[in-house]
Amino acid sequence: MKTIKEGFEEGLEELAKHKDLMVLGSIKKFSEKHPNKHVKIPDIGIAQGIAHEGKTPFVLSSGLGKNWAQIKEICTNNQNVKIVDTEEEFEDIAIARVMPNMKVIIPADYHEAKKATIATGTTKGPVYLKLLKEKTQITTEKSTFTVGRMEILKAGKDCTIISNGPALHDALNAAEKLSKQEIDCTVLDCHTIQPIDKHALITSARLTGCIVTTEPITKGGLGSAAAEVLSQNYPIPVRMATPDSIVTEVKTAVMQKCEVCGEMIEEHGKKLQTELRPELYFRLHSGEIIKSIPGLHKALLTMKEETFTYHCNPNKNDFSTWIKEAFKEPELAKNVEKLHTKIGLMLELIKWSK
Amino acid sequence: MQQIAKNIRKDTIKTIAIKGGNPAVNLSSADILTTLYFKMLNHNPRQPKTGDRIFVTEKLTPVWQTTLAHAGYYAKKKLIENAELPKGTQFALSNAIGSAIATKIDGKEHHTYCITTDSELDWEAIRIAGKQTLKLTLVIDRNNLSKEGFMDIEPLRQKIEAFNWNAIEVDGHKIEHIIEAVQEAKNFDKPTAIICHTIPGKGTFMENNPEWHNKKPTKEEAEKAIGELK
Repeated sequence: MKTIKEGFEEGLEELAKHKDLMVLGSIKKFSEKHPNKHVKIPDIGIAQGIAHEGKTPFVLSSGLGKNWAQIKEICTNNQNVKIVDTEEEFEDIAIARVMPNMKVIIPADYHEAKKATIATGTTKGPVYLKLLKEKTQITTEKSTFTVGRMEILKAGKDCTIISNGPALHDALNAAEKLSKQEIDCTVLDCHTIQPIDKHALITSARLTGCIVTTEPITKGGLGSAAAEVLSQNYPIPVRMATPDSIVTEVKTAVMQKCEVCGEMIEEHGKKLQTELRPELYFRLHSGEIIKSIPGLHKALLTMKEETFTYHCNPNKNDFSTWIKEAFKEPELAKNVEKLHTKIGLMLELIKWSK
Repeated sequence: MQQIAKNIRKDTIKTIAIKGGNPAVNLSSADILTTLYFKMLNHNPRQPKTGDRIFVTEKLTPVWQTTLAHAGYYAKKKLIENAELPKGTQFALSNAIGSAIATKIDGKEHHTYCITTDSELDWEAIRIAGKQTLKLTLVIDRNNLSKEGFMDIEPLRQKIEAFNWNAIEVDGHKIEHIIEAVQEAKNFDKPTAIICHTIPGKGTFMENNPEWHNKKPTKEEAEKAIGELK
């Protein structure tokens, strides 16, 4: 299996063909091949100066803490400096995320790292590229990668799991386990934390009704970013499946932590299903229970005509009232209110979910 | 030249009285900036991204902005407005090193200058630059002033030379001396530091008074200082 670091180096090779690239810091293969594009000292101030001359510098930095003042300056002036961090310290993700203009990218495996490196080199402005230790190959060469977009790894209707980096492996495992317990999960790969893909986040929240995030950082990372967006746009339960203590430098601890994360995702995923305010569930005349809007769509497919007319007839439309009260979707409720056929209702739901 | 430097001083005081800054330090380096921009630098206000590169530290922002306005980069009235103007940076020297490295790799001819005050010297960057062959000149405004009063970093010249730099010492208010030193610095392969001995608050009542290191003058005080400069 190829590593994330190899992906990064291959990405640099690719970039070196087209771009006015400079790499600062120790990187053996690249420096031997392109001595003209390499500077030994990984100093962010020097990178600023190189960017001033119209080149694209990649700094192989060891964390952001030491160079914080310089990074602040780079971000406020929107300078074209790319910071690559290979340290197993996760607080840096949180502090990089809050800077203006900064893009924060965390690739999950070899393929994604290669694509992320090329994307980093070709986007303007500061980028923080965090390279962690890979666990398994998650994406393939053909998978899409766009900065600022989430990729869908698995689609489901009951719960959304969002993750990035190697923790995605645990997210996928947890999703599989949950599916055996009939909890159908969507898994999203959020490789770009900043700017976060608001559209995908909100759409997914609307479709599944609850979100679990997982990542190897406690506060200020992906979970916080998702919560920031959702609390303002579409408030639903969000759980961060990350242990409470800040990660220490020991790598084994990180590995253990990710396993714990997996268990936590499962736990949260199950819990959230019951937390979804059962008083708002829709109970059909025939006894069936519907929990979400996509669930309604699914139920309509097999619903008997008499059950449907019991809830939806020219005198009343229970579905419309339910959508309005339980999901606070007045627009959809209004559209549904006029419809009195199963097919019409289903078409409207498909339109909404898009 | 003397007259231009005086005008720049006056406008600098006006700017500082509105926007704040370090009056004494800015006044002391007016002669250096004037000499560079009006005599030595190969630059073109219409194409700011060509010609010699210049990096200025944060403290010298007001006097730099004023000099640029006098040199024709933008209208002078912009100085007292809330306009977007170039700003000095804390990391001027390391930026200058980066710029000089890129210039060297591209095989371009222009020279890189960095202007700093003695209290903002970036020793880490000086150490890094000493190991390279760069077309880089560091101009140090040696005004002895810091927040706490007068500071002692002597022997400055020996310290800089120990990092494998060339060092030249001149009087920072004698324009001919600065010209000579800048000319001489261009001949070296190694980075060169020009230590300009200056008087903080030169030409006004703020002269040699540490109180004025970082104090915004009132309107009356600013007028008084401008009057003294005539």
